[in-house]
Amino acid sequence: MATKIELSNYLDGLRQRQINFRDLTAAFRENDMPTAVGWSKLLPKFDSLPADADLDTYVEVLKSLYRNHVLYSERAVVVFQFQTEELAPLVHGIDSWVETDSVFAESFPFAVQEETLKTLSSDPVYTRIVASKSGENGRTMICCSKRYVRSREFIDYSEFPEAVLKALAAYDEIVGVRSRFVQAFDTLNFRVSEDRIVLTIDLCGNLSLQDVGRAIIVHVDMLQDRLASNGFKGDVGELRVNFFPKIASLYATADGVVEHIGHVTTSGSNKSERMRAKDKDLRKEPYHQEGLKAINGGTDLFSISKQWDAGGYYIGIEIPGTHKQAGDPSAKVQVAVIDGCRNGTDFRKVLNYLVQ
Amino acid sequence: MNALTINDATSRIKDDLSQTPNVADACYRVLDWVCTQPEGARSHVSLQRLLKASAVDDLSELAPVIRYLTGARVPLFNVVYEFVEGDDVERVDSDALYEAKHTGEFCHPLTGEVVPDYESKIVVYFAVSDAARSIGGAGR
Repeated sequence: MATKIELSNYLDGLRQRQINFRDLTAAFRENDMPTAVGWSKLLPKFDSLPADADLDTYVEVLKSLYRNHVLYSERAVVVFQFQTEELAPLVHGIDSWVETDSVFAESFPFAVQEETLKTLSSDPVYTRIVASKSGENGRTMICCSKRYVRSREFIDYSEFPEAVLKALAAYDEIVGVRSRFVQAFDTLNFRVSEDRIVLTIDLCGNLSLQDVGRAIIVHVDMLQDRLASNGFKGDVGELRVNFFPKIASLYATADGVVEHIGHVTTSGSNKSERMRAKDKDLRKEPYHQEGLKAINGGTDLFSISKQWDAGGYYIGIEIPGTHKQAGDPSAKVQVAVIDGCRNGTDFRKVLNYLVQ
Repeated sequence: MNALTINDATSRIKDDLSQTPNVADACYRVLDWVCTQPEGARSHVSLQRLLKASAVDDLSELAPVIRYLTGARVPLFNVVYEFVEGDDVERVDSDALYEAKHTGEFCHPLTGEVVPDYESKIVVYFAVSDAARSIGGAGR
């Protein structure tokens, strides 16, 4: 029988991972669980449940939300494409990669405390594979890592001393930058039947593209070593799929809604166009359409965010090219961001848009 | 919801606002302005744009016009609330804001954490309602 401690661990874990609160309350509503407009009002409702309450269903829901968040929430994705039938012999015995005696394994499925993270090595970055599981898309390994993140936080300065308020009077918002360590739950999915490895980087903090790049290198190096010990002679980094050509095809394919594009026009401007609402398609917006008409469609895309309705919520892809890549036939973007997925089905659907 | 036609809107303004002709005139001007806007350009109407369209002097004169044109009799506009922090924009429903007004506590729609000084991060604008879709919008 599930306990209140278990319940509280999952709630804390979901809060730490900053689960989308709307997704959380939607799941709670579906399962007749307490809901509220924010954590400060939600937690007391769970605290006040009687000690002998039947919490099994609640914990099952929380466990599923937590698992799905760890595996499929906002992720940066890299796909390594091997030659036909090249991958099968390379993954022989990969279950032995799991290390059951690491700091991360002890607290898994939850993250270790930040104080503990601080004590772990940053160079090389402390990374351990903590679990391995087989599913319909092959074997997936969860790879925990110490990650340094910097987040921008808005500061309420209304109660600062008067002299400070005076000095800050010209600013509308005061932003602080907080640096901290978080535990990332990255994944490596070995899709032998497709000759692919899909690496996902857990965007558990506000990572910049440079931070994501650093995280990817840690895994590429690890894969290189481990696959080489199984006979791989090539360079894993060279096998990364280039998503840049997908930008134009995602824009051209009529399905879904395009939320954002970056492009360089033949009239000489860099444009970043974004719809305010996720359910509105930029391609149908009059300003966008008339602008394109005025330059005979003469523009080169370099980035895109596209979403699909998954039944009341949106799942999507972002391909984050830069304006200097616009119109470059050899441009490469080897990482994409998948967002909004609530489960494996959502994630697989979006991934297919990227790799098919 | 029943569709609102230009004739419905005009006659209701005439009936309802006969005691406040300035408000009625401002409502007619807003109605005329909506009729001239292309259909795809009526989903984000700012207060500044309404001030111009209504040709009133300030927000205190605009307030009764907005109240009327977002009300049950002539539901020309929906009020849209957004929570804007940095580059992030999230729709907020009016119930959440109503509750925040009473409790003094507003929670971030995505993180669920309490947001200090939330009022400075709420943006209000107007969108022509579905009921009023048949009014104008032909790009005249």
